[in-house]
Formats: sequence, C-alpha cells, structure tokens
Amino acid sequence: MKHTFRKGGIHPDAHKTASRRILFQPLPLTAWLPLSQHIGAPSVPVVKKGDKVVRGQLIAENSSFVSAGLHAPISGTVSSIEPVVMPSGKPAQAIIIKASDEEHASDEAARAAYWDTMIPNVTDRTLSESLTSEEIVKRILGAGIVGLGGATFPSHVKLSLKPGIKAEILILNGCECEPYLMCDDALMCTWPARIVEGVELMMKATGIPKAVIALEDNKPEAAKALRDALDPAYDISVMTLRTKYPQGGEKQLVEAVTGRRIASGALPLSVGAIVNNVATAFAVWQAVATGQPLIERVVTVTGDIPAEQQCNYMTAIGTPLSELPFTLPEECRAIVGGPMMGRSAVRLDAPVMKGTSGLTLLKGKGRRQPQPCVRCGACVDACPMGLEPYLLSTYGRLRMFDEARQADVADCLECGACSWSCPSSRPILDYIRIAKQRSRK
Amino acid sequence: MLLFLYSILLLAGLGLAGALVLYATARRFHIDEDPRIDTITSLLPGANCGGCGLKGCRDFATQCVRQGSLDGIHCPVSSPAAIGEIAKVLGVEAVTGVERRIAVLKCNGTCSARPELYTYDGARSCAVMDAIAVGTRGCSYGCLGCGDCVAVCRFGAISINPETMLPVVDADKCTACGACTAECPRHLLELRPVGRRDRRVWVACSNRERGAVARRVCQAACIGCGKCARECPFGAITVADNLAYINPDTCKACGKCVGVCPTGAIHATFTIVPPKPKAETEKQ
Repeated sequence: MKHTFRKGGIHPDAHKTASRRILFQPLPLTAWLPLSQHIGAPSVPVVKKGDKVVRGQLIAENSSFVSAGLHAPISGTVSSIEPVVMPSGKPAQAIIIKASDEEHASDEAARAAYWDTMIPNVTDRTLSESLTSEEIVKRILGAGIVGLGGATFPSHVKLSLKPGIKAEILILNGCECEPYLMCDDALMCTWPARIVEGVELMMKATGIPKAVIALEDNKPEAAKALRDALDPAYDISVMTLRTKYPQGGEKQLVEAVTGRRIASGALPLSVGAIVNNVATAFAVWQAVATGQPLIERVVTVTGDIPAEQQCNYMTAIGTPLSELPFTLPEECRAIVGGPMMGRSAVRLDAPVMKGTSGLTLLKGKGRRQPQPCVRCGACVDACPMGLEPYLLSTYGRLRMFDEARQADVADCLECGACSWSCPSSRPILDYIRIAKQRSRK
Repeated sequence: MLLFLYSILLLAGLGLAGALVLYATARRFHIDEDPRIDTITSLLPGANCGGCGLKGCRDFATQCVRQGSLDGIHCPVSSPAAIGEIAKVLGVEAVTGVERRIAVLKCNGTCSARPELYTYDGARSCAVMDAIAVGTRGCSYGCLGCGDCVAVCRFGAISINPETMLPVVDADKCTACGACTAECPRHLLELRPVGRRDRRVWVACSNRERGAVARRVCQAACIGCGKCARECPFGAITVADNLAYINPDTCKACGKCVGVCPTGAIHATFTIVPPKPKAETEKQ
C-alpha cells in the first residue's frame, strides 16, 4: 500500500502527454528581468543603464535576508530599468538587457559547451565531501536560488537552520501533482545523478542525515532513474506515493512521507522536516559544483497544441513567453503554470521567471455559469487542509474577514480542489483568496 | 355554570400572577435611558451605513447624547435641517459649514477608450479581479466594472452604465457615507464637496504611469502633461506621479482646465461655455 496524505484531495485528469525530452530554447536577444521573482523583499539593482554585463553576472543583489539575487542570463547592455508587464498585465520594475549579435553568438557557444559537460551524468562525490556547510549555503545565496516548485521561497533561508534546531529528514518534492506539467519529471529522467548530488549537498549544508525523494506513482521512469543514481554511502531513498492532488503541497507531502501532521500555521520544521523541490536540488548542484547561478530553468509547453510541440525547454530567465516554440491555437487561454494553480496570462510578451514551471494552452469555453450552492459538501471532502471552503468563500463574498480568520482561512493553500469539485461550478477559491488576503491585514 | 366560574377565576389568577412576575422583573431590571436617544434615532436616516464612523444610527444618537453636543461627530447622510433638529434636541447650536460631499469616479476608461482585451469568467467581483490580474481592460489603475461599489451602496446611488461599463453616481441619492470609497479595491471613488450651484471639476483618471505608457492602455488617461496646472488661475492643480489632482478647497470650478486637457481626462458637472483660449488651441 503506497502512502499518500489522508484528508481530502482530488484526482483530476493528469494530461501528462508532453515529451520527457528537454530541448534548449535559444537565448533571447532581449531579456526582461523583474526584480521581484521570489517571495520576500525585491532585489536591488547593482547595475545601471548603459552598463555592460556578461552572462551569469550579478545584476541585482538581495536587499534583506529573505530575498534573492538576480543574475544576467545573457551578455549585453543594460538598456533600461523600468516597469514591464507581467503575465497578469500588471507592471513590475525590471532590468532590461539587450544583446548584440556577436554577444548572442558567443553566449550560445558558451552555453552549448557548458551543457555538453553535463552529458556524462556521472556522480562525483568529492565535492560534497570537501565543502563545509557554510560554504555551500554561501554559494546557494550567491547564485540567487529560490524554490523552483512555484512558491519561489529563497533557498538559502530554508537551508540555513538556526543553531540548536535539528531537522531529521530532508524531503525532495518530485510529485509534480499539477496536471499537464512535466518539467520536474523531465529533469529527473535526464539528470538523475545531478539531482542526487544536489540532495547530498543540501544534506551537507543542513546536517540532516536522511533524505527522501518523493514521487507520485505515475512517474515510474523517473523513480527508476533516481534509484539507479543513488549512492549507498548516503541515506537517501526514493519513495513512490499514491497519486493524488495536491500531493506537492508542503504539508501534504510531509504527511504522506512521514505520517506526521503539521499544525495550523506551523512550518514543516516543527515536525523535523525540510521540503525542497527536485529542480531546486538540481539548481543547487549547478551553483555549487559548476558555479552557474540560476539563470535558466525548465519550462513545459503543453496543452491543446500538436503533440510534437508539447515539450520541455531549458529556457533562460527573462525570455518572453511568446518566443517559446508553439503555435497559439484559436480561442484558447494561456496559463502560466498548470491548470489548477496557474494564473491566466493576459500578456504573452511577459518574461519567463524563476517560478515559471510551464505554459499551458487550453482550448474551451472556460468556466461554466455558477449555480447556487446545493450544500452537498463536495468542497469539504476535497479540501486537503480540512477547511470548509463553502463557508470561507461566503465570508469572502460578504466581507466577513474576522470570521474568516477565525475559521483558519490562512491555512488555505489555494490548490483549487474546492472549485474543481463543486458541482455548481461556483468560484469558491476566488472568494477565499479575497478572504485570505484581506484577513491578513 | 360553576365550571365557567372556575375557569374564569383560574385564568384570571394565572394572568394576574404572570403580570406580577413581569412587573417585578421590569422593576428589577429597569435601565434608565435618556429619552433623547430615541428621539434622535428617529431623526436619523436609519440606514446604519456607518458613514459617521460609528456602528449605526442608534450608536450615533447614544454618542451625541452622552457627550451632550455634536462636536467631532457628524452624520454625512442627514440634511442640514435634520442636523438642526438634532442640535435642538440636544440644546446646542447646530454645526454649520460642513459642506455636503458626494462621490466622484476617478476613471474615464469607457469601452471606446480602452477596449476589452479578454473575457473574464471568474467571480464577478472587482476585489477578485484585482487580486488575480490587471482587469479585462488592461489598465492596472482603472475601473474594473464588476460593480463592488454598486453592491455596497445602501442608498442605491450607484449604477453601472451599460454603455461605458463604468459606475455612475446619482448626485441626488449619494450621501457621502464613504462605503464605496472604502470598498473599491483601486480607490477610484473620492468624496468631493458638492460645490456651489452643483459645479464640480475633477480629474477622472488614476493612472500613475508615464504619459506614453498610460495612453497605450487608455485613450482617456491623464498623461501628466501639466497643461491644466499651467492654465489654472487659482493654483488648485498639482501634478504628481504623472497624474494631475485638483484640490477641491482651492478650485473655484471655473472649468478652464477642462478645455485644455488633451485627453479629456478632466470632468465637470456643468457644460463649459467655449472660452477664447480653447478656440486658439483648436486652430493649432
């Protein structure tokens, strides 16, 4: 019997139809780099208009502890620092870098040479044995790494434990429970040894003796690849979990792996666990072993597009979404991320950011007309946090934010299982989001 | 016959006993309340809108009777006559000089000025729409048109104009309670003095982007050119963050700024008699 979390959860159609290959998306000639690509304080530019930058150079540094630096994904000239549109259409301050043709050509050559060294995919453990934990965290901080699962929490904060606090288990999130998205799956199949090395570096940095790479049972290829790459010298195991959405939620994953429940408002550390994404482990290995900061990530392009276009692309941060190779179907909506937790993109000239895991292009009429609530309780059964979504939604709609706070609206992880399960197609999560935002003030 | 007598006596006795219990309870738990509170409550509008900053009309009445005056508290909904009545009940002079205000919309993004970019099928609520994205009309400052202000108005003073998809404030019904100004997620409604002879001038835009950026999303946006500020003979207009603001205290509602605005972002409640400077700009 495979493990999973106990309360709630849903089983949406997986639609994991994209290929597991990772293709290399050409570098853009112009990169748009928003200063706030992570949770926490926006980073502060260290370059100014007209400066020459080279690929991998720090262009904005972290302004406080909970913040992350930003590096140039391409060589070129800083053309301006001004607001650019985000996929939501809202403007955000960003650094814009423009490359000349020569710079572009030399970047592409350097990039091809860099990734060629990755092909052997053989584990080399001398590194994680030689470095101290402070040195590893310092390199992670210097590389601007954030959680690549979507929450974009700065990794160096998660991996620097306060003295006296001991964690027992490091959990690597390879669930990718979101329908359609394949980027983590592709990464695990392509570079399993690098991910395992990244995990070893994380274990060294935090001093945690045990690590578990958790996957859902719909990714047998990735599980096999990772198991083959494991080193018996380290206590790392690969655990397959029963597929259920939202298994990739931090609290759900800790419960599925360890059986321990995290109290309302507490962190996984309260039960001795730290959760990181497998893509973050890969980025950690890149940063510590090869010195490449977080300037590229895997982006899945999928949805109702021809099968040969559904693929994963190693894309430079700052590449406009519209440069990714796909033909936009008619009457379709573009979603940044997956269909459950992603947000509709209003503007496709917005850039790929550190937290952009995919672009899902869906045909269809969109949502159905909402009907009155029939009190069936489907949303209560579906909620993985054991909340009462119909009630929280009503509080949000009627602006009863104090009541919402008392009903633990802050525990909502916005997974959308309630809206998905509602037979009356009510926009439950829309109103819960309002209650969550406003009751925090 | 005797049965009738017994029945009547029994019921009368029960009734009397009950009455005595009620009388004793009423005496025991009697609270002396100033009768003026009831009087003032009946003079107030009774909408419990919270425009005074208190919990409702009775709370307002209790507060003025407790302090014995109208100092520091004001019901924006009541007419000056009703305030005078309340002052009379309290035995004080009525507060004068509190000018009536009404809400104005600081957005002019009609359907023709900023066409709809995409269809939105989420919950019909401005708050939800603002939290998710920029809105169907592309402007991250402008009206979202879902009518949260309409829903929150207790006086039925706001309605959505189906042609422009913007809320319209009925000046006769608006009581300046401030519910809509607090509700709008983009703070597009402002309470401004009603003005002499109902003449009001205001900048109907909230876009703080640079002119070119603002114009890209909306034809009717304020571009912060400052023409109005130079035109104003009273120095009532300031331009900050690429957005003009007309100070209602110094504005004399002459309407000169309305004519010079290149995008038509300045609105007035009266029609402007075309002055000479406007004819010159037309020639140019």
